Amino acid sequence: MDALPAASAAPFAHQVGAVFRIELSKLVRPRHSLPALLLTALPVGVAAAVSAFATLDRGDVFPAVFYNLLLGVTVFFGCAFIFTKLFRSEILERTVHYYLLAPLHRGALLLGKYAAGLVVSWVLFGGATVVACVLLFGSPAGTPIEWAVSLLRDLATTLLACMAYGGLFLLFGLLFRNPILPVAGLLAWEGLHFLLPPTLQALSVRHYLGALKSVPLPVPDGPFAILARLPMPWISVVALLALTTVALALGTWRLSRLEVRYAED
Amino acid sequence: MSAGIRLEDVSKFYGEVMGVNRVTASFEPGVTGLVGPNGAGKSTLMNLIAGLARPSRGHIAVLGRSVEKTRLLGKARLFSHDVGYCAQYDAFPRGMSGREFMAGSLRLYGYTAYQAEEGAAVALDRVGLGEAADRRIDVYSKGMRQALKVARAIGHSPRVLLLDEPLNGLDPQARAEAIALFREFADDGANVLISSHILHEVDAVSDRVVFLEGGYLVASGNVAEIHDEARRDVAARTGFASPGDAARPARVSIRCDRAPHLASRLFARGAVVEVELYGDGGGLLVRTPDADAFFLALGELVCADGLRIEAVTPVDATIEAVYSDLVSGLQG
Repeated sequence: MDALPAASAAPFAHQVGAVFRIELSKLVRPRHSLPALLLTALPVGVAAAVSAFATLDRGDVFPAVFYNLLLGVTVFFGCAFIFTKLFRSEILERTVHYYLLAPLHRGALLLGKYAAGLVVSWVLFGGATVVACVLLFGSPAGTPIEWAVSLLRDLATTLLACMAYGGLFLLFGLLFRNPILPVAGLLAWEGLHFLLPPTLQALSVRHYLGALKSVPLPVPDGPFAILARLPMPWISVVALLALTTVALALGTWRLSRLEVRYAED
Repeated sequence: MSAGIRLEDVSKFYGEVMGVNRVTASFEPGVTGLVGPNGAGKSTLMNLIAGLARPSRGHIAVLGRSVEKTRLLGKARLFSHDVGYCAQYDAFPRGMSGREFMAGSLRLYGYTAYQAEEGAAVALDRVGLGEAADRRIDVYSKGMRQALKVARAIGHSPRVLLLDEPLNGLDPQARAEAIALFREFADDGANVLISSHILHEVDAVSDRVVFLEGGYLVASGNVAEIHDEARRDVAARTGFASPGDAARPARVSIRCDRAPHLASRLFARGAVVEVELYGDGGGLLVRTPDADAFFLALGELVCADGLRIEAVTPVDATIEAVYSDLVSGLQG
């Protein structure tokens, strides 16, 4: 066969798909996914322990496991691990120029990588959500339909958490040479958000995630806790989608200005 | 559409550090060699032409398209289809086989899965990696990785081929095959730009050369033309030869026995103005203001003193000599 003829410029969706396939094949390798996979063991293990030994009311335990452990620890750190590396590791390993040389819209490159990260993170953390839910609510008090709706709602919440955190962490990976510092800053902000004035609480991802769960959250306690009114669920969904969109738009802008200067990275 | 690469007053600064400065050049189809020491600005120039970096000032056009404008207008895709770049970075995504890397790359260029697989096989065969295609890149030798980079650059049949040190790590046979491949592209009308510190290989494959030093373009054109120009410049500065003599070789390498003796005899005859004895004692490099007189004197001395000569080689016609002349001219 002769050399390939010149291909015509691929549509945007084709470009996203091409990047998505490459990135997905990278992310499913143990080197990329093992730490995130190990993180999923944390809420699953706690749920299993509670299910097997504890005499606690499982309905009380689930929100804590889901909100504090799964969303607050597993999804946060798992997404940080997956999404900050999407671009930063390519810059450090000096391979990002292969993408930059290809006839890709920078937005397509960003979306393809983001979509691959989102699929992997949601499969992992959504899977953990299902397992934790089954372990703690294996025999639902309500009807099976109520149980399924509740599970779907929690899965949707996990997805929105992955989308929002994923967008932010991907942006961190593009903006900062060492994304650990902004990730730590965000962790502090998210972890202490209940101490902030209500207006500032509205600037945290957890504030909106808290309004989406199927089971009410335990009320934050402590002498310094400040109670902020939770937003309506639809407002939370819109806010998280808007945050994701802004993060991806900023990421595309940054990527469009990215030059290959490996020596400085 | 213009078939060449045009650079107009192009500068690139990385903060306080200069990459290239005020480079104006035009590269037509064929093979152009980019020559210069480390830090001369070769890779910066290639990154600028490939669109991986933006010039701090100036303008670059490839095949009639402004690199900067195609980026700003979101038309970089059209540009990227025409350009293949074998960068200097010896890095690949981990865990992939050569075939996966090539096929995945070609999918990015808009080819179907079938076309990408076929194209990957062809490109890998062309660089001699057909049998190793399914091995992981992590276990490739340096030469194989270098060949894979070349395959990545040529896989989508670009009309502009930028090759940054493409011969690094290749064994002699692979080098010869790679040079033949680049020549083939150039003969098909492509614009091939090769940078290398292996000067004689650049000389062998290039239709013209561009000399860079310290970020500046020092000279460009045919090697012989640059040689003449450099010699004229040296002659004008030193007075060793008149401009009319400049085209004649001024430096001659002699492999012989009793090199110190020959050196002293040549000095005594006034045939040379500078001598450098080789470290192995097996010869000398001389600089002469008059080549004809020098060769006459050398012949007489060989006969008179019974010297054994292995080789006499004018070295000024080589690209190394031209480069040396240019650099010494700058330093002078």
